[in-house]
Amino acid sequence: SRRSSSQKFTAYLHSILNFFFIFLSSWWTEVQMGPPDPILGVTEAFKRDTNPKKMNLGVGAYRDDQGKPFVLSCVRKAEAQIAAKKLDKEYLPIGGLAEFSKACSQLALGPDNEVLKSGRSITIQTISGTGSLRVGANFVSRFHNASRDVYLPKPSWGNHTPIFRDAGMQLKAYSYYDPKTCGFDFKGALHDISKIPEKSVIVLHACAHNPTGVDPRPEQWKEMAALIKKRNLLVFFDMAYQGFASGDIDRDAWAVRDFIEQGHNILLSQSFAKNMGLYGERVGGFTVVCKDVEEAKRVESQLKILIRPIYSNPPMNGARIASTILNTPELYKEWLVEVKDMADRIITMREMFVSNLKKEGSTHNWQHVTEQIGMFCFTGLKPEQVERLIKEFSIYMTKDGRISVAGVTSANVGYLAHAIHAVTK
Amino acid sequence: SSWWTEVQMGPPDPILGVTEAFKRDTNSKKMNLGVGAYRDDNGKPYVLSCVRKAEALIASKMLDKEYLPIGGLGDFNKACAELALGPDSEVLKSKRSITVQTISGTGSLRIGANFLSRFHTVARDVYLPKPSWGNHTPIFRDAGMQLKAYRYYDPATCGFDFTGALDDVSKIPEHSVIMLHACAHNPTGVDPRPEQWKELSAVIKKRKLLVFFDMAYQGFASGDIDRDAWAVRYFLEQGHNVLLSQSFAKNMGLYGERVGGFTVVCADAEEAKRVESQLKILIRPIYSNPPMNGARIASTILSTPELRSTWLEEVKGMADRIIKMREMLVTNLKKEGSTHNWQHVIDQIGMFCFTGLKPEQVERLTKEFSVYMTKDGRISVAGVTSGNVGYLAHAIHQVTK
Repeated sequence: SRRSSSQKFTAYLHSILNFFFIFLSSWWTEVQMGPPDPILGVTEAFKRDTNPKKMNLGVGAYRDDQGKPFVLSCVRKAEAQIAAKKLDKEYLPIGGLAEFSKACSQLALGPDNEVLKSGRSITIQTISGTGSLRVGANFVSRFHNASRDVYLPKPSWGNHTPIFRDAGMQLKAYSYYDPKTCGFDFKGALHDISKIPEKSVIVLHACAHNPTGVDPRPEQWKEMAALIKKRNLLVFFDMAYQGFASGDIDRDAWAVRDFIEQGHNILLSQSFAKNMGLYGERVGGFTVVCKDVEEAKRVESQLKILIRPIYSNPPMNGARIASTILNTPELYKEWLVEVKDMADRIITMREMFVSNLKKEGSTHNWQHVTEQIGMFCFTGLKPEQVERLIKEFSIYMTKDGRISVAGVTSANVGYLAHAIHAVTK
Repeated sequence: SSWWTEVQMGPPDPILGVTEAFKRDTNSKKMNLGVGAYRDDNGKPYVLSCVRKAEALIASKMLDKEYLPIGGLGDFNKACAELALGPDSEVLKSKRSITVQTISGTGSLRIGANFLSRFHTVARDVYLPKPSWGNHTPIFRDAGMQLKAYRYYDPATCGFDFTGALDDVSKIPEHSVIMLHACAHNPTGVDPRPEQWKELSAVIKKRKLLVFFDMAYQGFASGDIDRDAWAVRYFLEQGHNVLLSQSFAKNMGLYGERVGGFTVVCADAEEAKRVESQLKILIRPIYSNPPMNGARIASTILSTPELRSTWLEEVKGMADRIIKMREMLVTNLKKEGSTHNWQHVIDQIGMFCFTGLKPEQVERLTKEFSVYMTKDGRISVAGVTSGNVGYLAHAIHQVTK
């Protein structure tokens, strides 16, 4: 600093005087302290806990069998390839990295999909799944004048609600989870959907429903597709776990592809946070399936106009990694193996969890733990039981009894089963 | 029957549209003076060496890719705030501000706009300088605010309309939001002088306006990061509790990595905590948490002494080249025989220059000389090189003589 000490002192006096001026009149006096995020709040509490046996089954990020974050080897290889190219850091187009968007849509729809061949869809790169959903919500709010209503399954991912609400839509719900069976309330869902007013938006979780892990079976999806078409609803698919649910990317995208075949011109959000472990790089895609190429061009132009005043253009690094993996045959193959391994480990943990509960002597029916799919499991535990698990066993999960199976390892599954048996026997 | 039959084809982005037209042009002498991205003296994109070094450091650490917190990388936020406010800032010492990592400058401005829209209920009006960066308008409008303007640029002098600005600012209704470009005004390159900033600050305080600074060029304007942040720091000393958007797109060349910060200066630490909690609630349903890569690079540079000094040299190098190109352009215009007063080209600062050219003249430059710029006569000086400055001067002289 080039100022003299007397200048510094004067400035300091000034700031003291102005401190008092401002103290009397502040812009943000009325701003209330907001509640902590329910999911991220779990991790904060976990971090403060000093119990060596503590388990964080809150946030949905994959852990390996040592409980450590896992960076995929195909990701490391892609990074090395990218670094070697010494690419510049020029702005991406508003809609993102073109090679990424193309590969992203091909992954979801299948490379031979009629929609892609005819060019009648537009896919843009987004800030992971949340960014994709919000761009979609904003788009619907601006252009889907026929209805303000968005129907979410009950329950749904907590963040869906503020995403659509802050975008100006109204939230409604359709029955989905049956707490009695810890499974899919198929009858309830069909019943509610049959009453949804025409042209409303309906959000469907493509696979590995969050938070319940309960997915419809193919024949159930088919009935839902027919009914949704009859009700003339606008389908918005949220696919955050393609490959991560069953271990097979085509199987996990089956519902999306079938709906398109049945003639639904869907909206689709994709995330690469989990299936490529790219969480913090924020990689995702948003797709609008249109009537034809001309409509896709109009929609694209409006998406760009919408995005430019939110963040101008998306972050390049994660998209380059995902694009490199999707477009380099050996890396793509390696990725498929790694995502299957992650899915398989989850499935193994579900099985071990149930067998350990039986070993503990639990007489409850834990069938749902192995029937549910994906990262999460809706245990069926009540809030009081969840509270006990936190306080007495330092096992952290969200209040709704949702556990992230990714946080379970062969080393701690026994402790988990013991604790859950203790609070449910 | 289609869902999107009523969706109209939208107009192309005025700035990005220039680059698209440029790409289609086959003239070997073509020049792209549209978009504001720095170019070296060979006309090539420039990745700073401190950035490459930071990347190598980061890669060697084999870090994971876990989600950042909603407010971003803590180390980045701290360094970002210190860069703007200065390490001795009373605001930082008393912890009465909150800085969150954002998606570059645009993301920062939009978060700020959304925050104002939700919590600054005493006024809906945001006053922009006339002219301002084109994207400011849809940012605030889409966030639900109303746009108004105060005089700023004087086309008669190609300079600052100080009297007009004071006059307009003195009439702005109390508690309105006023947007100020901290340095290197975009698109004009015209900045107030320190004594003019002082008067503006006094009038703004008298009118009880909420100040929102947009600082996208710290270091890039004069070559000196403290000098470029002077207005922001002065306003804080004068007691304005500002909102501040920062971008590292230009000054660290991190354009596509999307690195920025948004700061709210509050009455005290307790208020800063309340504001922070609400910023997180606002951000979570937009993008959950920000991208990690660029923030790690910026944070590494700012907190590693040798990288930070290299960076300060490199950002000064970029600013100096821009200043040199301004001087060469004017020299060449005189050599061409132009009798116009081109002093403003040298007086203006930063990446952009408001040439004073009329739309018809801009059109001729594009059609006859393949020199591309935005219709308002704004050129990105960063696109000028010692190799093409002569051609540019020649072309401009042709359309203005």
